[in-house]
Amino acid sequence: MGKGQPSITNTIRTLRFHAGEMTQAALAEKVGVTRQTIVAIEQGRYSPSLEVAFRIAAAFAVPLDQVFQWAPPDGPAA
Amino acid sequence: MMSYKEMMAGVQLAGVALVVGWLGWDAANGGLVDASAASVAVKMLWAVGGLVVFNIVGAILATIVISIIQRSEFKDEPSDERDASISARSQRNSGFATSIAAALLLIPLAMGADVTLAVYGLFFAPLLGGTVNAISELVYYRIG
Repeated sequence: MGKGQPSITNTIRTLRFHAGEMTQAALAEKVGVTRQTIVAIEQGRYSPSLEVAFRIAAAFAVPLDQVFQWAPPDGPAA
Repeated sequence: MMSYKEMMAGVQLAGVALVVGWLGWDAANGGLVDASAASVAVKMLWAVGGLVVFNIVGAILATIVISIIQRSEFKDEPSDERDASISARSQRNSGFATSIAAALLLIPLAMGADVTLAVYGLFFAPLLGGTVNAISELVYYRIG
């Protein structure tokens, strides 16, 4: 993940709200991971595998880039 | 909220503290004086047995207590990719710690230290590895 602000952010909390305040446990059940993993992803402490990322997007029936966003890290371009 | 895997790591650390405390108390009360390798090995076997029993009983008791506090059954969940990643990193740290401890132990033995030190090392090097594994799991579950 690197230092400072994480370069990958997500909108899982918002998507859960719009999905009728879906619980983290319910999302975890749909995705097939533990609730602690959903908590860690939501808080930006853990970047999931591509497969789990797609499963999360599928759980909300939205495209992947509506769930996860990536911003290039600050500093001079390589 | 604490997960079952974090609870197990906590129980392991409590068991290590208990056994190290007992061995420290024993050493402070003359347990190291004129001890033969065989008598130290017997002591270490008791320590291993104590650790196993403590981990089993501690896990059962902790599960019951947490279930009562949460008012719902506290049980382990099937492992997912994050659990596997944390387990792999923790075991890597554990392997490093065990290898370094075992290598460092060879130095005093090479310099002629008593062979009972090797018996202690056979117990403490893996114990250190297990401790590092448990601490690593607790840290990784918090930070990533």
